[in-house]
Amino acid sequence: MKGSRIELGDVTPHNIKQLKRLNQVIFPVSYNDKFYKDVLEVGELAKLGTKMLNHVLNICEKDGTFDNIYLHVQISNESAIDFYRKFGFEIIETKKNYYKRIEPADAHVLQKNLKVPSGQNADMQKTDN
Amino acid sequence: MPNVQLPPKESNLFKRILKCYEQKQYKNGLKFCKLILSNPKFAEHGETLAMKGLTLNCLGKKEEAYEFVRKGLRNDVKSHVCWHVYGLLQRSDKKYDEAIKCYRNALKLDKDNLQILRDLSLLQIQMRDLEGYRETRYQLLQLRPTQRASWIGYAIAYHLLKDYDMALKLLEEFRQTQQIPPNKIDYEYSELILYQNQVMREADLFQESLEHIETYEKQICDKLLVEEIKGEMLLKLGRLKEASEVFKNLIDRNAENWCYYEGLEKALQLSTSEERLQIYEEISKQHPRAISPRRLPLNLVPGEKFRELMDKFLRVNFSKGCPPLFTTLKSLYYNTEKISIIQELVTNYEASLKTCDFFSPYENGETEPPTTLLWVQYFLAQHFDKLGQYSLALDYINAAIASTPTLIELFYMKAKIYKHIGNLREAAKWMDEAQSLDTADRFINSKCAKYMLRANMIKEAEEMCSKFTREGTSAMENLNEMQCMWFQTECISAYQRLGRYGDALKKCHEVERHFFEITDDQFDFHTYCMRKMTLRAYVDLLRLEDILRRHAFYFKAARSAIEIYLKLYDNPLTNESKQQEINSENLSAKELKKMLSKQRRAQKKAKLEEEKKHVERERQQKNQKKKRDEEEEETSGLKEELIPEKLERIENPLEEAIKFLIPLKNLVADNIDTHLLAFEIYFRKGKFLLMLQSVKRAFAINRNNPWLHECLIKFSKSVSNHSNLPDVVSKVLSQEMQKIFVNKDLESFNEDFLKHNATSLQHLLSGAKMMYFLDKSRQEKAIAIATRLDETIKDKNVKTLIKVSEALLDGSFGNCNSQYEEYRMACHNLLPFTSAFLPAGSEVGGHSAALNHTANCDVLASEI
Repeated sequence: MKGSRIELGDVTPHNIKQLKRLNQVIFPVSYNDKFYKDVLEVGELAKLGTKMLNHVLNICEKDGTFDNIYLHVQISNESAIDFYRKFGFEIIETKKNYYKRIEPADAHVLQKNLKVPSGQNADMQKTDN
Repeated sequence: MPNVQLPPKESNLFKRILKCYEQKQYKNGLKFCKLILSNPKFAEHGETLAMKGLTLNCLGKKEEAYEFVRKGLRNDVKSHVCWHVYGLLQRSDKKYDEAIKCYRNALKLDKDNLQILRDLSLLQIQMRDLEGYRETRYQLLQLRPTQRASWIGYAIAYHLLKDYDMALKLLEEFRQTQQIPPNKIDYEYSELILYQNQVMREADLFQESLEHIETYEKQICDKLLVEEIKGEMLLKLGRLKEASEVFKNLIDRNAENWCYYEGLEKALQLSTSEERLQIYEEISKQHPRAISPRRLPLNLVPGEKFRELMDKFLRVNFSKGCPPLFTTLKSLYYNTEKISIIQELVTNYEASLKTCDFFSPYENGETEPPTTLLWVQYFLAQHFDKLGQYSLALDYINAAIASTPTLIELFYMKAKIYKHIGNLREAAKWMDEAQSLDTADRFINSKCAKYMLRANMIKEAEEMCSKFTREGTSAMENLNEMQCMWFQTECISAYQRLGRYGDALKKCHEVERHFFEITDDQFDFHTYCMRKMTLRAYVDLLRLEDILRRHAFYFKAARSAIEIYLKLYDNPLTNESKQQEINSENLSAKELKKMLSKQRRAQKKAKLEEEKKHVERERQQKNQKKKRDEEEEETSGLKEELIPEKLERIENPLEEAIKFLIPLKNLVADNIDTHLLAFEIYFRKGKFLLMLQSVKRAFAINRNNPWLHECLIKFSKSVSNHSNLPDVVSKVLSQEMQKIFVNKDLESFNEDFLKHNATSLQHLLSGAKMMYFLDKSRQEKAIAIATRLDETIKDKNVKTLIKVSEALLDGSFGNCNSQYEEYRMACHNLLPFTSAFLPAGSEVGGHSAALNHTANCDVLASEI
């Protein structure tokens, strides 16, 4: 794909509605207003990651056809690695030069086994975390 | 009363009074005045009384101030101090003409008084008495030849009087005294050189200007301007090769300035479009990221070459994601061939991008990111909106919104489309959605407020603006303080549509006051700019102020004010009630009683509100006054408060209208509406020669203008109805009207107009109105003409159709309710989304045509 430029911006009380809109469109669940109030108060979206990951795990559980979930994390991102390990993910591999534009370029592959007997392997990719 | 000389003790006190005044220590100054005046020998001392008055003026006690100053002057008419003080007093009240007279009197008594001369010169330039200004500056120069402001002021006087020779002589003399060593950079010297050069260029002395700029260029700070002047002068002198070098260098500095390309083309004198394309190609290679060398060729080439270049241009910009892409191409939309090429290219991109990630199905290589399709759809929405195909435009914008519901530009565009369709409420709703996505963005907030005003949602608009205005004051007040005229002019139109004439007039006057203030504010710059040597900026300021009321904001306010005053003249409001006459025959006694009591309640409520507001205003004024007294600032006099109810019941609306008209006649004489508004005023005043002047000027601008046509017919009828005009006047009238009507009687004149404009609904409407006006028995035929909607009519757009339907309702065709209904239905079929034509009971689109028809409209209006 041609250079799709991605930039990060802060969520503030001024543009919180854009986050709401995104959630409405992307997720089948709509969050109530208290959720967004919390988002703003905490400042750094703490717990949002937990909520989202739980949400994903729930979806996989309900669906029942998923065997594993795996993702890539930059090897220097210790907080992300710790975060996922708390949810039962483990480092199963390290890929060299996975990232094109950041240093270090290597990434760990973390995987969680969902222990579902059927043979399907679905992967859910996450970008830098 | 003979002038009493003050003995040494009092004389010292007097000197101290003057010092206190200069240092703004007003309370002390008054103390010293008291010391002198309490002594019975000097209780009537003119100059002391005058100074007391002047000091009191600075403390805001205007009436007392005038008393004392006048008394002092009476006691000592031969004192230049008294006259000077009186002049200062007048100046502080902005009575500049009076002040000039006072200063002149003072100067008669003390010819070489520097302070008075300086003050006089400031007033003269403020009032643009250029001859007087020159004289005064000459005197100042003679008295103080070593002061540089003397030379500069004198030179500027000649410059403004267009005596370039003298101005340049003076500037050169002065420049030579400045003795700046050639390797030193001094900003003020640099500005002086540039000013000198500007005078040369205005005098068409191109050779001198070029030599001058080359001689002094090392000492000029604004290097860019030096190059630009060189380029311009070389062109004017026909030295094209050198000119082209200069422009090429300028383009290297900044490849996006279209003036440089224009200059380059003039210098190269290329004839064929191939040659011109070649140049843009080269420049584009040297500046690959510049947009202009890719955009400008699109203006030059037709057909296949256009398609090729446009294809490249569009692809690059869609990939990159360029939100204003349509705006940059909009100027090409006068050319039908180019429009269809663009349409073909972009709709094909859209179709392709939806299925595969390429601009066309036959490509490979890197795929487009998902945003490309988004920008393509956004572009198509704007494209079809421009072409009036609103359904299609909505389809595209909705598709874009479905994929990216957080992009503010999309909702902004959707709102715009609804505005063009004529559904202003829906437009405001979508603009509200847009601003809610980023409430820190003042631009979108203001746009939302504007769209609300267009939909007559005045309260909501004020609330929207209050998210950014200062805390503690109402948004309306703050916006007035900040001279936020876009808001005020939109309010004027909204109030006008709602029939709230008093409120509208208040805003018109507020806008007028801003223009007065802006004109007045230049006063301090007369001394400041000469001191700082920023002479080019100073002269630009003077020239701007000369044509200030040419600005669109003034025109809007003035036009609305005149329209309203005309309406108020035709239908004055009574003192009793603000509401329309009730047709009591149609209501039963019970209904009538109910309505009357409702009116009384509404009136009482309005009165209570008004009183509350009045008390609040008084309280605020008291606070402000207290503040002012404490701060001891110089006051310029409280402006009289603007009260809507008073404004709309003014005694002489036509006189007020003329006040707004005069600057338009002076500064906007090229706009036909100026003259037509003038006609409407003079028509009601019965001033035949002025009516003639107005229609003649309008005729010279555009003889086929629909409104002018109506004015001409009304004029002619009026002239023939007035048989008792003086001979001279009659003669002139018939002579001039002969040139316009050429022996035709009015009916034929009107018939010809209709025939000549058979495909333009705007013109047909005017012709039809006049047909009814000239002969009421032809009502049916007239209405039939105005309501034509057949294929041949070229301008069946929202605006024009609404105009026709409003005319059917406002009595231009007499009583025709059933025809109006028929017409409304037909228009609704043509334009199903337009609010004005929706059947009664659906959402009102906020058009006054519908509102005026209900008896409750004013009750509604006052509750909005």
